[in-house]
Amino acid sequence: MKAPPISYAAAESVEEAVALLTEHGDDAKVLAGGQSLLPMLNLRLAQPGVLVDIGRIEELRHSGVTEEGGRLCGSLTTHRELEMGAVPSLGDVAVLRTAASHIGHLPIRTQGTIGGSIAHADSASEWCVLALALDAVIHVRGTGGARRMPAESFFHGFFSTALEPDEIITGIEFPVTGSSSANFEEYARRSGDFAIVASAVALDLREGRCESARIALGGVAGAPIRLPEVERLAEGHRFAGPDDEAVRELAHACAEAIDPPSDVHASSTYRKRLTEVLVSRAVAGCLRHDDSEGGRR
Amino acid sequence: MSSPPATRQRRRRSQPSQASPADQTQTWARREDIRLTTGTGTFVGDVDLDGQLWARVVRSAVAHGVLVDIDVTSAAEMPGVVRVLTAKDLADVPQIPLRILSRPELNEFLQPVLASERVRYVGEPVAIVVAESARAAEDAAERVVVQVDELVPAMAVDEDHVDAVWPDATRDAMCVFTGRDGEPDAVFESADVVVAASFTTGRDTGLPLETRGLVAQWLGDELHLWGPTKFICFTRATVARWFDLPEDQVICHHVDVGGMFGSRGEVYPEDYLVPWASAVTGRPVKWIEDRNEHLVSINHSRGQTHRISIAARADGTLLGLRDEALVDMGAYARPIGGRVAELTVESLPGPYRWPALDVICTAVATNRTPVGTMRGPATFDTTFARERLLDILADELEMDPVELRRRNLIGADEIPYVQDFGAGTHPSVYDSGDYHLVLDRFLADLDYEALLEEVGQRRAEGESVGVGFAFFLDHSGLGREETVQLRLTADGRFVFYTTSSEIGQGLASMIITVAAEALGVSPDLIDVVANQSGEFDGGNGSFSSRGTIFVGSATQDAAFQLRSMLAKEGPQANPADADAWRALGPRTVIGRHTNDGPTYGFGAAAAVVSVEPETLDIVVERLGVAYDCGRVIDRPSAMGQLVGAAVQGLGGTLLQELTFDPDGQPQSTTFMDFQPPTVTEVPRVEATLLELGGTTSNPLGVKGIGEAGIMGVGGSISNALSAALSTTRAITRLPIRPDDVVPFAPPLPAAGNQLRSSFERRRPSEPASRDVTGAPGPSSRSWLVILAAGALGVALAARALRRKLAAKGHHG
Ligand SMILES: Cc1cc2nc3c(=O)[nH]c(=O)nc-3n(C[C@H](O)[C@H](O)[C@H](O)COP(=O)(O)OP(=O)(O)OC[C@H]3O[C@@H](n4cnc5c(N)ncnc54)[C@H](O)[C@@H]3O)c2cc1C
Repeated sequence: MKAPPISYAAAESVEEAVALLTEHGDDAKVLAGGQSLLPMLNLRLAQPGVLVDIGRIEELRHSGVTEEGGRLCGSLTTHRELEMGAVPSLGDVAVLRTAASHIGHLPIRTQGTIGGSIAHADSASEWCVLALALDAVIHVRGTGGARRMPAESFFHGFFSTALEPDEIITGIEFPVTGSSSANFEEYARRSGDFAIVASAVALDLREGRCESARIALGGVAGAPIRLPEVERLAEGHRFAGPDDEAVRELAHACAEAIDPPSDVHASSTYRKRLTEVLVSRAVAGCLRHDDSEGGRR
Repeated sequence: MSSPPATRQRRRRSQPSQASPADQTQTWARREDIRLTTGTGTFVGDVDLDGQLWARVVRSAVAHGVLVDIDVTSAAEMPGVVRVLTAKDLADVPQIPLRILSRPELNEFLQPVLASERVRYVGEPVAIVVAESARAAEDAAERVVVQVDELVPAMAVDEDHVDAVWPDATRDAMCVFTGRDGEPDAVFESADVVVAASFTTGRDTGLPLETRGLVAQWLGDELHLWGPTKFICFTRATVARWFDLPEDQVICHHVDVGGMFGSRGEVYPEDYLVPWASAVTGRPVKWIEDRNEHLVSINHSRGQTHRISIAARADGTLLGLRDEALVDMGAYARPIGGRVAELTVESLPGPYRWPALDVICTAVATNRTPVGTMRGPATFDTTFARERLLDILADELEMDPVELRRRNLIGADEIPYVQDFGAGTHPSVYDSGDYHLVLDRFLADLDYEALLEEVGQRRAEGESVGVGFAFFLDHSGLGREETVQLRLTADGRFVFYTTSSEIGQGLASMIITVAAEALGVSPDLIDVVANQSGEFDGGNGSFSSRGTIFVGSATQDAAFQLRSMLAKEGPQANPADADAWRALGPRTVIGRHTNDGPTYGFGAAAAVVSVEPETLDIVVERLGVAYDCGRVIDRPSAMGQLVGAAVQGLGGTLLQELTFDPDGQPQSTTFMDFQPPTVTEVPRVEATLLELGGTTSNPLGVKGIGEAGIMGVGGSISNALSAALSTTRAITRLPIRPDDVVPFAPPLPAAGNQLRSSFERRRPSEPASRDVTGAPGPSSRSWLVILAAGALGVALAARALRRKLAAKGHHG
């Protein structure tokens, strides 16, 4: 269970990393926190020829506010930094902290990065699910220059994304979308395991009326998914509060809209049940926050 | 699943508030722990010899097939590779012999050390690469091309196999054990009530923290080994026979051992392959198993099916027990032979009176990893089946489940009690104990009355919570004889040598405690050298919870011999006086203990389990174990065994399973899919440890304690969970997953349709929606299997698939 021989190059800048990726093409793999890549190398499930270590690129640790007012966090920001609320521009977004706290175990959160999670695109990844619900924008750079991709068009399916082989993720931007309340819920049998089902919900509420809703799910399909049809059911509804019957209805509609896989950990039926439970909790949580925090996330 | 964490404090109500049982006042640090927990131990992985090579075993990726060809050319050309060996390099391919010979017919099903004609499970050794480094060996192993003509994998134990694992055997049955007593037919015909059900246990394994490993070195005609454990004498005898050496020319050196649990230390193919590789290359060879290999190649255990029924009178008196048990033996008979199947029969009756018994257990070959023992072999499974059915009977009779059990529990006045099994299986003699007394103490410690009331109250309030019990009998101390050597050194120290293994259970502390008392000297003067054959090679080994019974008794014997030598020096020779021992002078004695039958200890497990009504999270709020171990020699070790075993049992009850797909591909090959409990999933185990005298099996008056803690955990948790779900028949399989609870769970609250109707009013004519991002598409089985397991699982399955395709492709 050790990786085969492999070349290693540490890039000092984004440009250098992109140049290395361009040079080696498919044979190269970006190395960030290594928490998914190294186990895969050791199990010999991936056998790239060159690792391009981006860990020294200072720029990728920066966070800040974009011209449009979006909150940008560098791709090398660790799960732990987000969990601790240590990113100045993101500190007040409670849902990021909640989601981060669910990822693996402390040593993994200390090494693993948000950019790595988004690039890896595990269906049950907290960051991928949350990025969908918060309409995050993925900032990438490659030979062709910089691109910004909405999360919704970034995840293509089973561990695949819109990222080109010569591109790296430089940052994740969380737009500010008016009066929005967001919440994250997941279930795993042991603490630290990947979720069997994860759900993130964001509601734009004006005096209880839902202007728009975004519901994302993990662990129920090949990639993390959004459920736009169900979301539109909620639009225009005036929620009486977290106990509004419509919460259950919305959650039930989510379970009806998916066809999750069965595996050794859980059946399709159980995943649907969890979906209903978790969406319902996440929505109720949004409405509760709306009461107490004046609707701002 | 989870234990009650801080956020579930509310659920902790039922924990006893006064938390000062004896275990918490004791110190935990044993002398041997300090070295092992501070990184200064010497495990086989720490052994490095000059000029050493590394071995990597190439394993079959196909569960069942005819071996067509193994092409090692490309592997042999890899940098650093010294040799690549296959069965073709052997004139005769040696086999892994039986250690337990109760069923000689099992000699037909022995495993060759390298597959030469057929492969019968994924993980079976087919070649061995020897190289200058571990990495070079692993890199080259990937280049060995194995061509297999695939057969249909035989995975079922209760259906005919399309392609038999063993075409010469009848329906792949390896051996059969029966137990018959009384008049079962008559009893079942005339009983007031008969209950029947089927129960299954999934595969599990002992899971030692340290994986297997071996270092072999030839010095002239002597073969030196580092790594054997558990039963060094058998390993040594086997290796000696393989290489045509006198036994004393195979020398097993001491290494520390990171856990055994029944599985580690049996004889495996690598015990031949590594010394052979060393002989061929003329250099020392080291092999350390990785966890991936470990999970497919170390002995698996459990994996039983029971079709069981009980006949009883309306007043709850048990009349008869019937069971058709099937044990999945995997592909080969391992050294333990048919012992697990035999134990299935022997452990089924448990601590109750059964006027009639009719049990048959068939051991069936499948294309899975071979099966051996793990902690509580068979007893874990049979206790689950029997105790589940007793709860079903109690429900049928509308009796309290504990009362039903108590009524049928063998009384102290009936002991020694003989349970007959008829021809072919030895009777069991329950030698000592007071089962009712143990139960009373347990119920008192649990505050049972208050517990029932509290749980009843919570149920009345609508909570899904229940209490469950399981009773069991633990037999311990097989292996007939043990010897230890005691040397009094010139400077007045006492050194014990044993071939038994310190495997974390506290063997050394036990020896020191027993010896200090018997010699009348300070424990600080005593040393123990275990797990070796170089200094002293007598004795048997560490299995069947026999350490304290046999090694402890032999230790006492040796100490008494020395003590009486001192006494002969005259009344002035005081053992507490170091000069007296120095005056006696250096000498060596051999202590011995022999005994033919095991001793039986009664125990019970209890659990309080609740179910989160929405996620169906299974919360083990309380887990208790009671056991009579005769006498406690070293309390921290005894508690460690009891509590640790209960935790391991919790894993086998709720989490960990070695699963296979229909093609025989193992699905649990990393800790992503094989999921033992971690500290956050385990409640504090409440232990009631009793010391009731009476056993005649040994002079110390002890009963084994290594396995008792695990035996009732599956039964008690599944009974408590079934009670919580208000469906006595709910749980029929271990480990229990949330999915098993789904059919009995309350439905989720009904959802209205106000949103939909208002949506339809609002936008009656809107065109069909945009695409759903990443919506589930058509899904092939192979990726369904792995989805939730995350990246590693996915890639693993992909690899299995790739290998499979390769195997098929090569065959053309
Ligand atoms: C025991 C364990 C438990 C875990 N549990 C969870 C969990 O519950 N939830 C969860 O979401 N994750 C979990 N993880 C995975 C963890 O979150 C990883 O950190 C994360 O998936 C990858 O981030 P990384 O920085 O470690 O990336 P790496 O492992 O270095 O890389 C992962 C992949 O992303 C690519 N990549 C990385 N950074 C970039 C970039 N900036 N641009 C382009 N490509 C890039 C790499 O080439 C590689 O393909 C767990 C991991 C372990 C070992």
